[in-house]
Amino acid sequence: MMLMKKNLLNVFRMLFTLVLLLSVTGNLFAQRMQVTGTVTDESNSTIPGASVMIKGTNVGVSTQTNGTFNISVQKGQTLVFRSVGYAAQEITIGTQTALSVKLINDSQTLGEVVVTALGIRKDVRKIGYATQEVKGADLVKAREPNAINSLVGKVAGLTVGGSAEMLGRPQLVLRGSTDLLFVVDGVPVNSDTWNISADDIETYTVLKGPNAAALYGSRGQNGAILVTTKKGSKDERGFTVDFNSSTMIESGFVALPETQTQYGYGNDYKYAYGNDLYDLDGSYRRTNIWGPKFDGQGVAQYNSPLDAAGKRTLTPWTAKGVDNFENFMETGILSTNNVSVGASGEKYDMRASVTHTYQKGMSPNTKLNIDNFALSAGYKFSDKFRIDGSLNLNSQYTPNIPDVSYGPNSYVYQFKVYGSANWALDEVADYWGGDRGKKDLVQNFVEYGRHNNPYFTANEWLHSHNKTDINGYAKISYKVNDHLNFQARTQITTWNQLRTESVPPSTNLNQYVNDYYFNKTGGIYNIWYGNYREDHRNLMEHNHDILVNFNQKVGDFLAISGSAGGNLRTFEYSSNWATTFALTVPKVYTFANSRGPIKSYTFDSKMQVVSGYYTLDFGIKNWLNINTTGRVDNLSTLPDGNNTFFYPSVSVSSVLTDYAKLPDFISFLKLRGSFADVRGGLTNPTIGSSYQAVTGSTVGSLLGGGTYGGYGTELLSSYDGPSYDNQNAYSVTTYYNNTSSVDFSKNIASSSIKPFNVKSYEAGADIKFLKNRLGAEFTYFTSINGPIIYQLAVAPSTGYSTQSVNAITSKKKGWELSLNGTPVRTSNGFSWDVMLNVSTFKETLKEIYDGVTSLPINNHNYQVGERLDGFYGRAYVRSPDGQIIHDASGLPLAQQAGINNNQLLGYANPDFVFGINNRFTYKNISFSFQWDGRTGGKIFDYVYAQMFNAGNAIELVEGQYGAARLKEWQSTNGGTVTATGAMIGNGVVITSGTPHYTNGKIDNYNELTFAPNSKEVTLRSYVQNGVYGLFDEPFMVNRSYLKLREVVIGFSLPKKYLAKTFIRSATFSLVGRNLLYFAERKDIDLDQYASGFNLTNRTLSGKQSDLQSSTARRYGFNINIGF
Amino acid sequence: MKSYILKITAVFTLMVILSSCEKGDLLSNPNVASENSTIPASLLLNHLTWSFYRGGGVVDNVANSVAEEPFGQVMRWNQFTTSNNSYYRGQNSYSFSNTATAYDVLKYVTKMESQSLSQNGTPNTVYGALGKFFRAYSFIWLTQRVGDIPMSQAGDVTILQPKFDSQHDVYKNSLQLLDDANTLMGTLITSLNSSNVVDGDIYGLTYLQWQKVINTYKLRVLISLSKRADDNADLNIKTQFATIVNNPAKYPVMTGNGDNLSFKFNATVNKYIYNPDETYNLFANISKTYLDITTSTKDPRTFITSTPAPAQVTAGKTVSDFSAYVGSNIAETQATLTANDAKGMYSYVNFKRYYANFVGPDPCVLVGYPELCFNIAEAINRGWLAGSAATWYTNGINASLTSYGLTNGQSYAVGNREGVTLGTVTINTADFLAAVAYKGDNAAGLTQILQQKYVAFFQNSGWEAFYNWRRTGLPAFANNGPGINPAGTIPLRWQYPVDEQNNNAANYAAAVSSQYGGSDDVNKVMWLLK
Repeated sequence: MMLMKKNLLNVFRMLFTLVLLLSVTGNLFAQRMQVTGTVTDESNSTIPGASVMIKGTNVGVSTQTNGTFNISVQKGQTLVFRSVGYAAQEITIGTQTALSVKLINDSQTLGEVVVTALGIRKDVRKIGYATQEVKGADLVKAREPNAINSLVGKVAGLTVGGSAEMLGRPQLVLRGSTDLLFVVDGVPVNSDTWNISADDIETYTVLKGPNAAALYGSRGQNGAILVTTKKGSKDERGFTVDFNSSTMIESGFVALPETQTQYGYGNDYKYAYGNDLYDLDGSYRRTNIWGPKFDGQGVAQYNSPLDAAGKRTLTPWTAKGVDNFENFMETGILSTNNVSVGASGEKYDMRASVTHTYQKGMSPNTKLNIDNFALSAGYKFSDKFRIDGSLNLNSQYTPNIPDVSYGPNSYVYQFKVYGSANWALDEVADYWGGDRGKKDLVQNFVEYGRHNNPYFTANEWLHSHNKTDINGYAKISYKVNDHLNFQARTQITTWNQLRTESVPPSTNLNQYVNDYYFNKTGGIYNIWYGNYREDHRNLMEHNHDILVNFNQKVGDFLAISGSAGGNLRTFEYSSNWATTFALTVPKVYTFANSRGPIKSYTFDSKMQVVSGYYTLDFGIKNWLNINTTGRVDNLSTLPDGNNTFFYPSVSVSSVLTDYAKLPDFISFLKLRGSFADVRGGLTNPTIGSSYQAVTGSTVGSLLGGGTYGGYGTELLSSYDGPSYDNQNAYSVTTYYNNTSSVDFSKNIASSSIKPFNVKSYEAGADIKFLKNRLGAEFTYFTSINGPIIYQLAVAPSTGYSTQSVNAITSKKKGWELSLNGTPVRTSNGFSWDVMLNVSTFKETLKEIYDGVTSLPINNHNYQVGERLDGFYGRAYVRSPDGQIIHDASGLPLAQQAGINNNQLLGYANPDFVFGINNRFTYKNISFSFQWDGRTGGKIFDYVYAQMFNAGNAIELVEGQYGAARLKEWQSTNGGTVTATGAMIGNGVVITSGTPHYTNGKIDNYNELTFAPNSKEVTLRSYVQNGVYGLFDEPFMVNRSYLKLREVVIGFSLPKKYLAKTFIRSATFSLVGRNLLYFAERKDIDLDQYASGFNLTNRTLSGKQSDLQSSTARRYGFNINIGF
Repeated sequence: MKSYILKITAVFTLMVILSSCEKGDLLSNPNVASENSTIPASLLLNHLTWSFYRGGGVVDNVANSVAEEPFGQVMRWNQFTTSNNSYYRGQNSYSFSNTATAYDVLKYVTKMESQSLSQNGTPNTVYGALGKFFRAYSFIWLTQRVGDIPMSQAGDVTILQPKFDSQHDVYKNSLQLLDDANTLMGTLITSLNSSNVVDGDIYGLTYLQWQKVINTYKLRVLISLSKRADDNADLNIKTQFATIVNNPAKYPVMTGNGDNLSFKFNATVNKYIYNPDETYNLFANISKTYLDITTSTKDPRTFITSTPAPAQVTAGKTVSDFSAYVGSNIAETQATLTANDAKGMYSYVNFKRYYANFVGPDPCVLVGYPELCFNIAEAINRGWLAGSAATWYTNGINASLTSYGLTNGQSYAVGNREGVTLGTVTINTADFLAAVAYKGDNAAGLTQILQQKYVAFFQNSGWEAFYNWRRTGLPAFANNGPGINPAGTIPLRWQYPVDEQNNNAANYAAAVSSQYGGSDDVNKVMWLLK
């Protein structure tokens, strides 16, 4: 009901805005004549999407899917017909009102224009590096809550790892590098990817690496995503109004950890809930799921009545909550509504757009609202002088989003890793109730040690988020003549974010958080009254730039064009993170209510970059195009003397079909090659809380500390500011009983650190066949990354761990292929379009540092030439025929300790990333679907490992494990006697000889004899003492997956039905996303884990999964109406 | 008109750009104090004293560093407790590989010394004296783990590849540092400040007590050199030992538990390792090595530290029956221990004592008086100096009993692993003392001294129990079993840190070659132990 009200309210808001905008801009319907017609090609096939423009204006229409158009013109005006791959044709309107236009196929006049760095538009045939463009309109039907997620599978070389979490940042990987630059209308913006409204985007252009993005300086080192927003209407009426509404529901998991529900809480087939609150008297307070089988036998449980002596009686032990998780989760909703108005006239163009996104999460009581306002306008004082302005405001607000780190805040942890089926959801729905609950003080639940009542978590433990993003610019341009123009621009990007966390009384954080009392002393329960936390972050960045563009022809032979400009970037960031130290009064979430001293941390940073740059392009007849760019940066983050540096790029392209005779089936062939050298240094793409920025530790380690200590996920925001990584400094801390202490840097700073260096080479070909029916773009790239600014290990005997040096160079090689074609296009309006993107890359260690031969990171001493995404860990020790060797006690023989004994367990990066998109169009109906996925690579499945250890993985009741478990259970006589082990690990034991090892592998097999293992142990011992903590190998799973990503069935209302209405166009679509998912294991949705290795932070950060929220299908409908 | 607009705009643009330049120092991190800042030396001492408690490299998160606190990994390697569950209480295996280091201590000492010098104008302050002690501690901590180490050139950022000093030289120079520390402390202590505590010290010791710690620690170091006492005249091991014991005016040593260097837990921040929040008492057992000694000698500390094994109680044994206390053997595999534990075969930690509150039953002793007594007894037993080994031996036992608050005839309630009282015992220290009466300055007496030192080390003094076993083979550790490690033998040393190998390669190779025939093997025997 609430939801409906909210939606109604939103629709009302939209309509109101619409009316307002209409009344402002819906001005003139000029007295003109209507001209209709059809555009066809030489074979009389209709050409949809051809542009029909009135010459000398920016007014025009596009042809419909059946090639027809309808435009009003004044007599004597000239219409220009254009379509990609065809020669443009001009027709001056006399008296005729029906036209039949035939466009001539002509590769020579391929006139595609792409956006390049700094927003400069260039003819696609004249650029010598790889870019790829995606139309914004393609991404607004089957929606993602986040505009950038929609790019998945659409661009060769760009891997999008969409986060399963609400407000989660997708991981973007371009040619193996993360941390891409976002640029909106030519100016860099700081983006969390949620502050961009998909409905306002005309095109996304991906600059695939430094070759294309060198002009953006160090920020463009990994490539950039350029967003071009929609501008004022080109409609002949002078205005357009568009309404796009999409509603999708989310339900039906595609990735879900599978648990057993035959055995419940306990250890060694025994379980008993204690006699009092929190089960403090019990031995099973923080228990595994290694307890008794659900056979209906009597077990003392949380709701078993107490007898006269205060002891729990025995009640039947049954699996009442087999589907607790599925029942607890709700149907999610994603609803997006956008109204935009575009207008243009002789002297101006403008566009205003308002978008509201509402998302209801699948976890109860979670939601997200995003309001986005976009306004852009341009005014032409004269033919020479023009101003443009743009402003985008984005507001995100939610009272609660889930926190999903490993621990009792996560539902997957509670239901899947440590969930027992001995209770049903409705028994605990009243979370303050029950015989143990106390209103507003103590939650009611079935176990306490590592558990929270999920309803309590959902309704009381709240994480709010409020963020406002503003970016905008003002620009003046002055055109001296057709050869020379100037522009100056000032731009701002800023955001302000507040996150709060309210932790209610009696929350179980983790037993290891021992900074809070939560216990019984002297017969009285000490109840922890909760906590309150705030995380404030503010970022403000200005860019001021000037640019001069010129072009000149020197005879017929040479065309020169170029730009020169300068940029000043100033950056300021400040943040504050604070927490109470337990509350005094329960449920009052303020700092004044802190019982102990408040812990509060601030972090501030500033930086400035002054840059100058140029581009110079030479066109030598129709033969060769040479583009060069250069940029000088002065970075305030580097020491004097090394803080000003130059980087060049050069690219060459040649369209062979322009001057050479090639076979007829090749209609277009361009060869291109480029080189770029980018530098930069001592900035970080993202930043965590101020606590982390100051101390280097995550907030989870603040209270309690240790491996399992604390709570709360460290949130990373986009930053691109100073890292301060090259400084020796003291920071204040406390260790003992709140007494003051200091830490000193572990790194030796260097006053002569140089900027890092990335050299990138690429070569490629763009080819079109059969009159452009089939096209392919292929790029091969290689880049030398480094030496980066690296904190290289030093001998510990220096007293330090690392020193800042220019060290570590990696080499990346890979290729990207993008194919598109129209296998079928019939004269009756049916067409089938296909697009395929494939990419791959490998990164190897090229150089370490003078005199250093191996790089010990990520549990391995990497040697030059090795792949840096190699995952090294603990593997089973095997006999010559590959069987697992067991020790005398029946457990797998442990691997030798030490870094050199770790074994290669796979590579963390996928081999190939691909996407295939098919689109079928017949008259007014279209049907498209996309498959995408990745192949190859391995990931450590953390959820599986944890469920396995906890006794909850489905495997533990199946096959050999299941048989052993059942046999052991039967040996306990209903849980009354100690179990007899029945698990015999598959493999062998050594019967004679002593193994000798080299690098963790046995090297004296000839001295050993083996016999099959016959030792019986309990399954729990085998799992917990023998497998879980000792080996990584069993939990390495294949990263390959395939997803049916999106399906769109669209229907456009034919023009004839709309002719007499004020509606210009109307499209209805049925849409679906993430409908099918295929992977080796479906515990986790592999989508999210796009990058296994990232040189920027030198870690195999993506080597293992986390406790991701389970992902589901999303489907719904979309309405797109143009007025 | 048009050029007018243009000019204004140009001027405006220029002004915006100029006025928005960031001013001031943008290179330095404004959120921390730079290297050249004035930092009170007390804050650096605070860091050092905390590092000392945590153990080598732990505060700096050095690879493979292990906390030296009660009931941790080190205490399993000391064979006081044994884990039967790898997930909750870790593995038992002696999986020694590359060592951590305590060179971070050296770094902080250097900083403390320079800050103290610039603030006080003289190196002769209590921070200067304690700096020498921590310096010696950091070198000895490492050398006894690997052998030769960089010392004379260590801790200097201008020498990134310091040469190695022989283990002999490391000890020689460290002993000199300790002697210098004592001398300087001696000059600093006046009647005015002898009872003052040192600002920044988390242990709260007075100037005089710190001097005692330095000398008591030095005796530990000297006795640890027992195998090299005869063939290294330049080290003067025996003489130095005797000098300290015989000249308490110049070399004051601890005179009781009140002088112990011990870490005091507190209920709010630094809680005891086990406490009411941490109620898993079923995943670790008391070790056989410990209980075999205490039960065979009728040691009342058996009741204090352990619970009776459930199966023994079920079988009808009373809580005062020493045979009801059964330790688990770390040389067995964890699977075997788990299976046996499920049958109730082993004793657990005394829940009533160790889980009762947040400050713990007692502070964690790092350098203590009972050890001092046993070290002197051992030296006398070995003939290093004259005196009554029996007296020092008995003093050591009594000091340990006192630290547990044990008195003869005291009634003590024994509970099970969940703290439920099973029965009461009467503490009989007389029987115990009779059973362990000193057997004379011979091998049997030495065994007794080392056994009782081991029992007194229960959950304290870091690695000392292990190092004493490594040096003397006493008391006999469980060894040579599949639970020890894949090779089945307790290693005698660690490998050098990976970063030392990679980044000080030539010096490392030379050191491994000269000591261990080129093989950085954990089973090789270092100079100290030959």
